[in-house]
Amino acid sequence: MTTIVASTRNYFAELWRAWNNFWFTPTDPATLALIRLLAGGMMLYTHFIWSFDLAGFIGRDGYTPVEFLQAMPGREWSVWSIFDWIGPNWLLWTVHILALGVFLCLFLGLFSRIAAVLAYLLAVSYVQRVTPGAYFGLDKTNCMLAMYLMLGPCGARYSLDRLWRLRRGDASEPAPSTAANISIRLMQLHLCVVYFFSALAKLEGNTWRLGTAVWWAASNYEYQSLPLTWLADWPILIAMFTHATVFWELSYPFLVWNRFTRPWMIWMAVAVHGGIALFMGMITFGLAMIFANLSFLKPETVRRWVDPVASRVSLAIVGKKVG
Amino acid sequence: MSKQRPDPPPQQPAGEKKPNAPQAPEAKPKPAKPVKPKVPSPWPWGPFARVLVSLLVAFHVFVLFISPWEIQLRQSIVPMAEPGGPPLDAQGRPIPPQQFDPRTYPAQLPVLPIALTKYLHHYANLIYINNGYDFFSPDPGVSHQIKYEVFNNAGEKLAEGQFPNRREQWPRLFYHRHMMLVEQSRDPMAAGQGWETAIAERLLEKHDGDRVRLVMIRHHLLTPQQVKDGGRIDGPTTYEEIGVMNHNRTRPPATEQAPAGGTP
Repeated sequence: MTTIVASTRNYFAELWRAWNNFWFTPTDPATLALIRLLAGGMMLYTHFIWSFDLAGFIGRDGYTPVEFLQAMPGREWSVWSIFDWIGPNWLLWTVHILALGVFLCLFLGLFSRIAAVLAYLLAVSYVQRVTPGAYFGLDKTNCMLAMYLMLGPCGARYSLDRLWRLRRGDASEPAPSTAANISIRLMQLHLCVVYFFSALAKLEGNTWRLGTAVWWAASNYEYQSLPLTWLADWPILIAMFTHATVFWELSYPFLVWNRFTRPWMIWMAVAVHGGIALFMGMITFGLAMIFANLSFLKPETVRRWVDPVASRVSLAIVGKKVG
Repeated sequence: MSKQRPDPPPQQPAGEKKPNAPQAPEAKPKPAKPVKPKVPSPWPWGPFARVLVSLLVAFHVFVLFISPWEIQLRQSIVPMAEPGGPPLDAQGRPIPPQQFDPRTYPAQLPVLPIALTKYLHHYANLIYINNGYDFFSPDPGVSHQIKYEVFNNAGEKLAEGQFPNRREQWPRLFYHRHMMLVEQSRDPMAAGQGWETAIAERLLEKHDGDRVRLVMIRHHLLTPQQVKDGGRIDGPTTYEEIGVMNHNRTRPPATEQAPAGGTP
């Protein structure tokens, strides 16, 4: 009996230690900073595109009027957007330009933490304004990344904030951060949830189970950006791509944590999302998902790739090399 | 929170006697246990902060998981009938699902996800994790288009165009927004909501017109064999007109609207 109690106690002690190691081990904020740089640029571009028809998509009386959305069944108080309260066109444009300024700050890493919080609130406001209306996976990914960026020191590296500190004589390396680790862990888990449920939804479809879905997606003229109809002569390729997509999405949440299978999962993500970007015209969505997958990169790997570039930029701007 | 906390004082080892406990006269004094060197905690945050944050992240990840679970099952609800085939009517014929009497065949509800999200979905809504992540699911479908012509009161055509259209909408993301606009307006959940009217009103406002004609088009997909036989995925036969709507302006032009209070 004593052995059982001791074993159980040991199990929970080990579990608590593993939990703490997973969530609370400080990490170099390099990975988070790289994702801030890339996701910030993506959010700036994504929201800049609304400028082409801001009143039409975001305006109160646009293609999906605010009153129309609010009257839709299932619309609840907790679905919010600042654009629900913005009427006049001049105010809409003022808020939009300020929002673009926030996304630019996030991209450059200027007042990074404040910019990340504002960018998240604004990104949610834009997407809730066009849900339903004109949203798609890109908006979901943008909001996901912005939400976790604001939780950690996303401007600790590769940012104007860092260069500003350097200019003031603070050349110290950014300290490993627990908050950075929590942000990255949440991104990773969120990504696992996305792939897992994406796979479950596909399993409801006959074409995904039979192995023909990639054809129906690739031969859709409205999506297509590069010719893919040559696949008609290669049913085996269609089947391979279809089955590989489903099995990869389904196994991602389990295999991405193992260091031997992780590279396969990540490179597969690059291949799938890169394919969507190149062939199906969703360059932004494909890239945003690849950026999210970078959360599984070790900070050392990120620094090995990015620091040389960051040092050159730093040397050019403040005359000192820094990561 | 990221500041280094002092290490907690070493706990009394289990089994050690209290200092004021009466000692039996015959008991031998125990040898002093070697003092373990202090090992700094690998986690800078103190136990209270870690427990609190653990609860928060556990809650967040839990909602993250149950939200798509419930959202995906919303469209999978089926009548409470014996699995393995449709129920039969008095004549032994299969009853089509749309003719199921809800009193005899109430819906099979996903009880657990519904119960879990009943209150928690507000959290998911507020922070925008209320997503189904059902990309190209359950099956990739056909696309739709809306062609429009805007006229003034004299019947002159003021504008015409198409959503989506690669030549009219650029960059690609802008085109994609129009594509999503059309697709989401065709969603069965949006049917009967008057979405086309909202699009029509916006087009009238944009082009300062009085009447608009919308043509809804379904763009069918070709099978691999049809493509091998020479069919083009943008061939004229792949487009099917599924509806036409003429709409007269109901909203006054922006220039005629009374200014809202508090605005110039």
